[in-house]
This record gives sequence, structure tokens and C-alpha cells, in this order.
Amino acid sequence: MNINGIGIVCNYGRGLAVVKAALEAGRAPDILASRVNNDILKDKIFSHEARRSGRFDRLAVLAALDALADSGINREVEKNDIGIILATAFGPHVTTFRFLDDILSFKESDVSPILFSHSVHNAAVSYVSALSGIRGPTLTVTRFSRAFEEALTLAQAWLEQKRTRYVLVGAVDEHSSIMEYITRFESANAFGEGGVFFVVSREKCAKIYSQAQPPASPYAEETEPLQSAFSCAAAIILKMRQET
Amino acid sequence: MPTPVVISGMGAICAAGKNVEEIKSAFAQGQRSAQPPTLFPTALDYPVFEVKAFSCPPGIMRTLALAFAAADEALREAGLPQGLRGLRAGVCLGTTVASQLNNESWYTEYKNSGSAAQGPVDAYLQGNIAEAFARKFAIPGPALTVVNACSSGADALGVALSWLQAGLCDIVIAGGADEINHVPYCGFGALGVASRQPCRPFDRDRNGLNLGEGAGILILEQERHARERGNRSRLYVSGYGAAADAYHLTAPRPDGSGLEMAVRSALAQAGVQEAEIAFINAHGTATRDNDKAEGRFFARMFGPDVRFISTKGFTGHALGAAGALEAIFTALGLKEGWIPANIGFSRIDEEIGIAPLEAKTKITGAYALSTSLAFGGNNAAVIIEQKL
Amino acid sequence: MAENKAEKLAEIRKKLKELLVTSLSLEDIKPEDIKDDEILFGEGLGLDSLDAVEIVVLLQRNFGLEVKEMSEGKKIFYSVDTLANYIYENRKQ
Repeated sequence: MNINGIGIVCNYGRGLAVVKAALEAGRAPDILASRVNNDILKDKIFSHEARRSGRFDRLAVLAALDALADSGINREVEKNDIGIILATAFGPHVTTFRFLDDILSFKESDVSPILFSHSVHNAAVSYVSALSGIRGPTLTVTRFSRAFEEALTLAQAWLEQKRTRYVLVGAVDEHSSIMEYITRFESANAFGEGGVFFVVSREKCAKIYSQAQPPASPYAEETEPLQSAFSCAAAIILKMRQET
Repeated sequence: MPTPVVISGMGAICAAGKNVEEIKSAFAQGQRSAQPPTLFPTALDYPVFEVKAFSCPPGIMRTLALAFAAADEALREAGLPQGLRGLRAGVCLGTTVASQLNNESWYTEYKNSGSAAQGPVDAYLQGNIAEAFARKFAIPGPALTVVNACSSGADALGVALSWLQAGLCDIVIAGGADEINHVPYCGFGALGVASRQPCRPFDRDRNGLNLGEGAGILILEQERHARERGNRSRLYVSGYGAAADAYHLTAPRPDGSGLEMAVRSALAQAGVQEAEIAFINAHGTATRDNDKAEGRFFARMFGPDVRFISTKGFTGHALGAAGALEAIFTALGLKEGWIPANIGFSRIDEEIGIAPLEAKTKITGAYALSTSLAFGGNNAAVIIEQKL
Repeated sequence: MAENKAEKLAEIRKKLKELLVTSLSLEDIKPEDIKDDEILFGEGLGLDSLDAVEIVVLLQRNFGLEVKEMSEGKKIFYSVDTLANYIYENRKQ
């Protein structure tokens, strides 16, 4: 399984170059630690029907579309042959709690349907699919640990079984003070905010960054999905540095 | 040829019954009861399909308790009453509610004081449904919780199929579970898709869905492994397909093309032609948009005489459990040789042009199809086969 | 009376436009950019079915009005003008 494209959004910005610079400056541990600046999430793609998208959706869309662009795949030609698997620990929980705010503040009949429809975990992939035109199988999966490793394993199975030619596989999570409170007894690295997507395939495409070899995963057993996906991307980016 | 995947056991719990036998009896008699919710107080008047007299052990989410109840039945039927210890097992389950901390009193406490009781937090952090199953049954993995809204239960079967055919494991606990919760109850109401009457799938005057709850668990197994254990089930999951609408967050693509891609992909995997499908268990939520897109697609692809039903009139829409429950109902139809009436239907919708089965109907044939359409635009199709 | 009605309608239209922009996340549009007779759905402002149900909630929350039948909604939801007239006629004072 080849990694043909990478897209990253984190607090340092968007794209491989900013992450590379941060890694080179020795900032690896805190890249995911803080909330992504709102300006980073602004993009003209979030107009029309995507205007209603939340933070979580936007992290997913930007990372996924950047990974697709990076791979050089012709979306128009391949749209039926690209699948999506998104792994997340906590989903769009900020929107979920905002919807609870509605229930607590208004009559039961007066809660926002826009908030409700964006409070489900798979809203983000719906946006990725609608904005990219991708028509393959789309899946959102959740676990507090190992969700990204499992997503990668499944992507490999899809490719081997020729369910799709390409899979956009990644991890997204958003940060909030309430989730910090909820996870306060969990391990130190349990938390972060960002989006990381990879295009994987058995094809050559424009480039092959590396061979991904799940399920013999090099990552810690109990790692939160975004952390795992980011470690995977960081390893590739650092290797690029050594080679150039 | 990929490894055949046998359904070695099934367990189901929903408003129609607390196990497969009870559900069959409700189906045969055409019994249903949609009632005002009793699980939470509400001023809204949307009836729901609750699982009655189900006691949830303290400290775990109702969704998880429902899933454990169905798993118990499925494992017994599979000849594994002691569980899966020592087997190369995986678990893949769909849900919607269990993935969120939808606890209003906890959240109110947190908002007012900046801290709140640890109990609901622990139930949430211990409540990822696949992780909880992996702990309880000592499942070494793979393990995944699918959160694909209304197609989650069907997609979980697809994931299990991929794992088994890739040789990642020999046996998988697969399916879905969801409880009726106040938060989605309000949400579906606000979306304008909840009916104030018992739902009427595919009827001309349908006006929305009723929420339901429950769990459907299938023990899926490589055929060779099942036979070595002495399991003789003749039911198989022979195909799964999924495709995205790439259209809208809450509305299905009116032309049904995403659903068509999913169905064609499932048929291709099973090596089956349209004409070999004995019947379809439709998603049939009884919303205006879903039933129109789905019904028109059935007519177009399978012809005007296609036999199809929605069982949502018996169960309500059990969200993440729906696709798994309906795969079980589909398998039961083939096994028992009959399927229930599409309860709630009385008048044909000219915009759809075809009618579901209005009475309990005899079925012959080896293959049947179950379809699921999700908010967010994912479509899933599962082909169940009974080998002679 | 007539003047009073015109003033009230203008007030309702102003409030409606502000509510539409915030509730529907019309980020690139200023409330005053929405024309009174601009078609809200499909062409014009380009709103869709999810916006429609949000507007139903917006009417309930802010004006105490219930739209039970969406068939009736089509005429009411045509433009800010038609919405404002409906609110003016039906609002519980």
C-alpha cells in the first residue's frame, strides 16, 4: 500500500511545509496541543451549502482536499473509485454540546436542526464527499485508541479486495475545554486538535511518499487517532528532510 | 474466490421483541405499538418504538446493554455460549448515540459549576461499543465502532466481511445498537422528519419516521472455521456495497444513483443478477424524501413487480442498529420462507409508482437484499444468501 | 394605522434579515444586502431544505409562530417580504 498524498491542518497552519518547519524547529510535541487558529480554517470552499459546516468538518475537509490535491489524482475521472475512512476519538463534540445548549435553553420544539445535523460524527465525511465529488464508500469510525491504525488496516483490505482504487484515510479531532475536563484523568497525549489525511493506493500516482504497512503498526498501543495519524505524517516528513 | 462468510448466529432486540422468536411472532401477527416515550419526560408528541421492560445494569449505557443482550443470543445460536476466548476474533458495531456524551443533567451540572459527576464520564469513556465488546469478550482485534449515522449497522457488516476475506480474523461479532435518547428525539423533531402518528413507509400519505431502538448482532465467520466448530448455518453474507451521494448533508440524492452504485457493487461481489433477488428489505423510513428516492430506484432497477417491504413500521428507526436488525430480518425471511407485511402502508404513492407487500408473503429464492441510506449521503447494500 | 403597519413590517424585516444571516451562517452576506423581495430558496439567495427547517425553528423561537404544514410554508417562505407579512398577521402580541 502506497502513500500517494498527505494533507495536514494543525495550529501551525495548513500543509506539509509549515509542519516541516515546525518539526525542524523542534516543536513536534506541541504541534497538536492547541486549538487551530480560526484564520487557518477560512477557505472560499466553505461557501454555499458548506457555509454551515463546523470546525470539525472544516478540519476534515481541508486536510482531505489537500491530500487529494497532493496526490495528483484526477478527481473527475476517479471519483467513483475513491473511498473515505475517517477515524476520530471524540467526533464533532463542540457541536454536540452546542445542541445540548439549545435543548437546555429553548423549548424542545425550538432546537436548531442545523446544529443537530452537524452534531453527528459522519457530517464531516459528508462534506468531504460533497465538496470533492467523491462517490466511493464513505465511512467514519471511532475509538478512543487505535482508531487510525484500524482505519489504515481497513483501507488496505479495501484496496486488496478492489473495493476502491484509492482510499482517503485520516484522523480528525477538535479541542475544547469540556473535553479537556472529561479526559483529565486520561494519558497526557490523549488530546489535540487537527486533521491529517493520506491518499493510499496500490497505484504509483504522481509520487509515492512511503509504503504503509498496517497492521504491524509502529505506533504506541493506546494512542488516540489524531496523534497516530500525525506521527505517521511526521515520520514521512522527517524522512523527506533527510533525503534532500 | 474470496472466503465465503457464514452467519453462524443472530441475536436481535427491538420494540417488536426481545429475541428473534418474539420478533418473528410479532411479524407474523402484524403487531406493532408506537407509544409516547417513557424513557424521558417530554412535551413533544412523536411516538416511538421502545424496548419495553428492559432493565439496564447501572453504570453502562443503555445502548451497550442492548448490544450485550443481542450478542448473548447470537453467541448461543452460534454454539459459542462461553464467548470467543482463544479465537482469532474481531468486533465491528455501528451506533450513533453511544458515541456521544448526550447526558443533559451531567452537562447542566458542568455548565453551572465547572465540574460534574464522574459516573457519566466513565460510562462514556468506557462506552465505545467496540472497545467495550473487545474487553468483555477478550477479543484481540480488529475492533471498530462505525458511526455512519443510519447506515452504521449495515456498514459494520461490510467492515466485518472485509476483515474476514482479508484473513485478519476467523470470526467477527458484527452489527449495531442504539437507544432512544432525548437528544436525537428533539433533533429529528426539529428536522421536520418525525411523524406524530405510527409511521407509514412508502404510503402516499406518509409524513415521517418514528424513532426506535435496539440491537442486531450477527456472528460472521469464515465458512471453514464455522464448519470445523460444527456450525451448520446455511445463511451467508455474500455481498456488501457502499457508495456516497456527494450531494447534501440531510437530503438523499433524488435520482437514487448513490444507492444504485451501492446495490450494483453488492450484487457484483455476490455474483448475483437483479432477477435472482427474492425480495428487498428496504430502508423505508417513511420520510417523504427517503421513500420516494428509494422506491423509484427499486422500480427502475428491479422492475414493477419487485417484492419489497420496510420493517420500520414494526421497529421504528433504530438508527445505528437499523441496518443490522434489517440484515437479520432479511436472513430470517430466506430461512423461514416468508416475510411480514409492510405495516403502515395502505395507499400507493403515484410518485413512487410501486407498492410494498401489504400482507405476509411466502418467499422462495436464495438471495435477498437489504438497503440502508444515511444522513450524510452514504448508501449501503447487503446481500444475504441461503445455500441449499 | 397604515403608517404603524409599515413601520412594524420594516422592523420585522430588519430583524428577520439579521436572524437569517446568523442562523443560516450566511457569512459573506450583510443583513442589509438581502433584498425584501429576493427569492430565498433555489435561485436568489440559494437556501435549501435544511435552511427551511431552521427558519421554521427561527419563527417559533423569535416570534412564537408555528408552521405545521410545509406546503403552506412554500408561499410564506418565498421572500423576506412574505415572511414578514406572515409574522405581522399571525404574531401573538
